[in-house]
Amino acid sequence: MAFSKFDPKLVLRAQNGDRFARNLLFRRLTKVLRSYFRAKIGDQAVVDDLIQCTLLRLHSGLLALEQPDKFKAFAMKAALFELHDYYRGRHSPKEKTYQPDLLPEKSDSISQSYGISHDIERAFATLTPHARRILELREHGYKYKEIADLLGTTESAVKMQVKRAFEKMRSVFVE
Amino acid sequence: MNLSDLLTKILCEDEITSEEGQAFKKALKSDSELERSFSGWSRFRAYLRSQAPSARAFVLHALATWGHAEDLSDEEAEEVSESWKDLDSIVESYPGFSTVSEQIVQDRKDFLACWEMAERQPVNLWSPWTYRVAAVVAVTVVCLISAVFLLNQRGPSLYTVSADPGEYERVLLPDGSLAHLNGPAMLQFNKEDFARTVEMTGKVFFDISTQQDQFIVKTNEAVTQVLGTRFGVRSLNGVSQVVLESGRIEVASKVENPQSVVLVPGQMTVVAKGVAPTPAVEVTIEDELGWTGFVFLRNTPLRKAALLLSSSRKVRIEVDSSLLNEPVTGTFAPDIPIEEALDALRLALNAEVLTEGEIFRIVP
Repeated sequence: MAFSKFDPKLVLRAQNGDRFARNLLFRRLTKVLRSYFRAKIGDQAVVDDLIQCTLLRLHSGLLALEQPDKFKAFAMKAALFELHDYYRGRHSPKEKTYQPDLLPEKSDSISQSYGISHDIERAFATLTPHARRILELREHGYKYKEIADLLGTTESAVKMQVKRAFEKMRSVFVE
Repeated sequence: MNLSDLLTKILCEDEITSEEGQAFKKALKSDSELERSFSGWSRFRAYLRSQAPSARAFVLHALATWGHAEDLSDEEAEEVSESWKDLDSIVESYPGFSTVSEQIVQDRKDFLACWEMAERQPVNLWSPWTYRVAAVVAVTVVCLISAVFLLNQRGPSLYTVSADPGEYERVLLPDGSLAHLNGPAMLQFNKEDFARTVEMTGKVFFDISTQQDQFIVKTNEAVTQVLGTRFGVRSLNGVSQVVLESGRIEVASKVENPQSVVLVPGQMTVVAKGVAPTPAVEVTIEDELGWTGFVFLRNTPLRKAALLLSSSRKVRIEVDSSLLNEPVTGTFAPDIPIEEALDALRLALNAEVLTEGEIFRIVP
């Protein structure tokens, strides 16, 4: 059997409190996470944060991992949770700076206080499916460049859709 | 900038200055129509955010939906099944969230690709317990005493890497060869048109990838031509010292009737300006290439290996008395983490490594 850097025996030793095994395992994993987050995000400071958060998540969950041979899936999920948590927390700081009163901070309070009001329902109706997709992807936390890559178009085309969407919705909100 | 352009910038999340931000705030106060439309826009966005599942729920649901349920633990599978209907409904109702779900599967694939790549990379730079078999054909090290020649060859696009005294730099060259600089050292090469040629001064250890074309190392005193091998060159004070770690090389001085010396692993020659190379002499690699920062182990008793690694990595390593005389062979570059080096020894010896405080202990 080929040698694996993430041999279940190494995982088991780490779970059993072998510090050497745990350090070795996490050091090797750091390399995987670094190349993964670099490819996804690029920004070095963010990459470092994501690595730390993922390692922390894995560190605290390692004991609960019942099958050491599933360490790869365990690590993959932790990385994906952190990546998408990061996307979700990445709403534009510029909007927060300049329209602090217009954007409620927590989504829970938003859904409670706003629900789907009549004007929001009508605003939805003004959008093309393509524009809707862009706005929803934006609210998941993707940047316009990333949305363009996801949809196979250009950043400027995405921005144009956003501008048009705003213009269409305007009539609904000013009534 | 007019208000329309400013609004476009804000909607498009382009960079705006603080003055532009203030101007927009002012416009919101004075233009009630703009205020209402922008407020509605913001509420619309906030509503969308409130509908998006949490990152965790999204990831688990996407994995289960797209045929990767085997990645989920029993608890996670249960968690997904409890919220399955709600999440399905959200993903179906919101085309953007449906795209996110598909992207999560791509994210998974990308992660696994990074994982496989890490698995494929060798744990150590070189095989730790056997000599790596270097497919080295006889190579020639020709020493040229011609700094003027080198100066004439220097083009404007040379890429330079240097290491200050006491510093270490590992350089991956365009052909996959490695140069390990031990300061003071300087390495120059043409990145765009590499042609397997580098210029150097100071102390550099080379690990040359085997290819058909020769690899050329130029110093102020020498030109070294190789096909694939590992050797150290020290070019200081007009004297070049060449020590061969693996492969086979021939060293010749550039005089009218050049004389040459063939080196086999573990041998050294010294070439001074206008003088024939000294005869090959046997040397202890650990000593003569100590300046490289590498740890070379050649059937070295574990007791000494632990000492060399301890001293190189500034850590304390203890060895169980039953293993003290076990011979180990391997080469560890300066940037190989101590845990990887010890794990290689652990595997070779079928031993264990324990961490006790700041001490590593190798035990049967």
